[in-house]
Amino acid sequence: MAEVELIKVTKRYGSVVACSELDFHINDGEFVTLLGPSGCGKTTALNLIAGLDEVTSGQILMDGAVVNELTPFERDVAMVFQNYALYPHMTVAENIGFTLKLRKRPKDEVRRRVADVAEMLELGQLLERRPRELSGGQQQRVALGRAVIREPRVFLFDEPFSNLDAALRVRMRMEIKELHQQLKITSLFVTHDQEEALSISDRIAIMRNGWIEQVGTPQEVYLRPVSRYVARFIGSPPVDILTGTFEREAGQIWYRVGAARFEIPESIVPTGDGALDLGVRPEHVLLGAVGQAVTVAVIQPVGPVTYVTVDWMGGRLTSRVPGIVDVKVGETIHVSLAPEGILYFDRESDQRIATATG
Amino acid sequence: MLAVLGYPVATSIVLSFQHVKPGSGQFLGAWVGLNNYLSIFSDPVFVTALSNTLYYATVEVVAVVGFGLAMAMLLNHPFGRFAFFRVILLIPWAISPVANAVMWKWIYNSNYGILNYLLHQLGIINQYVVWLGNQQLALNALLVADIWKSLPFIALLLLAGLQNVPPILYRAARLDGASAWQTFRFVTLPQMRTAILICVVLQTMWALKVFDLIYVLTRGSPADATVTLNYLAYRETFEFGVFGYGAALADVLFLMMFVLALIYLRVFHPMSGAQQAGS
Amino acid sequence: MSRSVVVVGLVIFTAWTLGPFLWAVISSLLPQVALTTTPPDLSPTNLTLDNFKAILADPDLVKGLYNSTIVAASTAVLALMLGSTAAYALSRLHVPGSNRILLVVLATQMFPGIVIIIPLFIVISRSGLIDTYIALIVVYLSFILPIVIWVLKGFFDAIPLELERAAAIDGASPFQTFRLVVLPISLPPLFATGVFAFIESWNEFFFAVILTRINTETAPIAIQQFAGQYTSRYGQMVAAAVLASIPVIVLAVVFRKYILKGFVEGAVKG
Repeated sequence: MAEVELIKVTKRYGSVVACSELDFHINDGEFVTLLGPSGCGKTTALNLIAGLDEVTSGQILMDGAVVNELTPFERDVAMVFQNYALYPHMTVAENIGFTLKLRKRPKDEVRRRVADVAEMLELGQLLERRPRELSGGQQQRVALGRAVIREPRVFLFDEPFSNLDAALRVRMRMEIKELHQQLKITSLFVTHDQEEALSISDRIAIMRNGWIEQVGTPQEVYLRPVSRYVARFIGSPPVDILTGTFEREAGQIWYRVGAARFEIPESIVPTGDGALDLGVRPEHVLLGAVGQAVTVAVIQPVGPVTYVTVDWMGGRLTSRVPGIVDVKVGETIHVSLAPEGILYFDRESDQRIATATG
Repeated sequence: MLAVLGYPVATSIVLSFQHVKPGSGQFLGAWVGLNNYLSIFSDPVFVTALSNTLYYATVEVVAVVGFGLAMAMLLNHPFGRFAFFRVILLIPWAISPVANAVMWKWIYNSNYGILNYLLHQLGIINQYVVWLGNQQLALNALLVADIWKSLPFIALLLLAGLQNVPPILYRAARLDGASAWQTFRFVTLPQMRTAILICVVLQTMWALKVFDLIYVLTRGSPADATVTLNYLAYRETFEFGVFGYGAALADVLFLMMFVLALIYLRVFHPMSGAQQAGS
Repeated sequence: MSRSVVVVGLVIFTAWTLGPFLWAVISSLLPQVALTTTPPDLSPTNLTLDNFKAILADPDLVKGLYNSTIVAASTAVLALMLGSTAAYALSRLHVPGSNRILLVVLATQMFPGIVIIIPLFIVISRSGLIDTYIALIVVYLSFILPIVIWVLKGFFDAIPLELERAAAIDGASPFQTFRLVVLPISLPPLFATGVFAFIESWNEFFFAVILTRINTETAPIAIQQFAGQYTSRYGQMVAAAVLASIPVIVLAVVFRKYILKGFVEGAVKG
């Protein structure tokens, strides 16, 4: 059980800044994900916390004590790698028990604890096999076992599921979630897959170019993204961003984008000036008989819902419609925006501008 | 390691500027400046040794790389894929140059050697030839023995190079209607350029270093027909005791090999010049 | 290439490559009488081990074999021990210029022995180390180590870093990581370079002939002297050559997979 805290942690490689003044707190027993595209610094941050790399400046604390000078083993962290990193010349049992062997634990204790872990992860039948004889999912579970047997203060995961196929990935997410509920060990998970982050995390920290853009619960980052970057990163299909201007006509406020304009209720007009972009998620784009006339461009049925993309001169939007739709490409249809889903972003600073309602 | 190689090289260069006589127990003698190097150029044996060396190196490289390429292509063919063929290549590579020399000494034996016997039976020669005693033939006899031993390694290097040619290029050539020879000339050879050049340089260096073979089989005779630069340097130093002159000869040889090594670097690391400039 | 060309080619290839050595072996198993008749009397009833028995009775030859074993084995072991640790250090510690290793390797290949032998001889004789194992082993290591380090470094470079990170997290010190994780998965190149070191040391002649006297004469020297002394004892002369070649051939064949893969590819890829 441990709290982890980063205070102004910076990592520089020569002139390249990989991590920039990270300030961050993980509560005891929490499952936190570092989310971001490749190169944003999330794996570097993980390696710093693990102790595999040295910070350039700043402090890393665990349970209130500064651990900058400690080795990974001394920090009592365990890590699961993207490429599993299983020792190819050792059996599954030896892989899992390696850390105990290094600590010179008696043989029967090692055997017993390996057996316990193997049972927990359903690896009992595979103990005598070599890694190359196992499937990807099995190898990943061995890597998990190697981490679990450490009974560490903190679990670290470095994109562990990136090499698995889609179906397996979904299954492993559930297993990780259950494991976490069972063991309640503080966990830090790194991924570039936003769906993964949303589904398994207590909180998500979205990283961008070496700094943390936003920290929040899945719901917070989804509904109240702090910037256009976060809004576009979270959610699939991504948020539509419209670049337009406000108009006032006949006592009504409109947002004009090219040949179309959308009605904006007075209560959610944003405060302040400065050019603003408008963002809206597919589930808040309403198709029907009311609103701006547009043309249907693309129809994508994906089972329980259908994504309909409509366009006009100057822009396009994607709408999520439950079930099957009765339109055809090229038809004219009307679109309006649900007021509760409209997000404003300052065009210059990328930041989300709050409205009266939030 | 630098000590083992660096210090001796430096001393050797110094020595070459001196005239040294042994027997006095000392190894540093009178300083004679460039005399040793100058006497090289007026030494008739040097000319013989130089021409022998150049002939030997050229023939060996052409033969080894040429036949090596042929061997590599044979081994690359489906018929030649058996492990047997690769294993027998290990034999010439593994045995020592001395053992190789003794083996060929027996083959070349003028009275009972198998070569004379076979050639005579096939009607190619009327009388038994004294291979190692014949001025025209001795050097070539050594060449054959050396080629026999050197072929395997080069063949294997070339085989590796051959197997690195992307097969898809052969398919493209076939679609373009190329004949076997055209494919070889326009696809295989260009792709193997680097490997072939490496082999040429490596084999040239080894050819220049040949020693054991000469020592065991001919000692330079008959009439210096098998004296190479390397052997001459040895002879002057250890058999005639003229250390300074021997060192000068050795350094000339070293210079030749150094130039070769530079060529190798240029071929293989064409960027290294730029890198060194930047670092 | 047409099939018949290939078949003919392979036959010639086999005859050429195997022929000379096969003849040497056969000759070594025939008595003097059979070899000196024309045509040589090859009837199987003549096959005998007399030649081998005779040369094994020669103390110099036996001593040569014994010395070669000691020198070659020691060189191989030391080359592996020193070479693997050096290669690992070079690979992991980002020493500047470590990719110039190829240059160093080339440099050592470049020297004809004659260039360095005199000063070397002076140093060694002044330290009283003429005719000792140590002198030979050190000199051999100076040519062999660069190649060993080059091959092993290339291999270590290719080992994924994450494996060593996992070991660090599991609590292994760098040395434990080297010993328990890196070495066990490096057996193929280790074998290849070890065998190479052994063979090169076993076969070396020039430095051996100059740096040894009576005590540490190696096999090539013994063979050469034998061939020079008993020039008419053909069978025995060839038997000596064959006998001294058996260990290295056996080693090469047993470890052929590693040799063929490790070296040849490493050389072409540089």
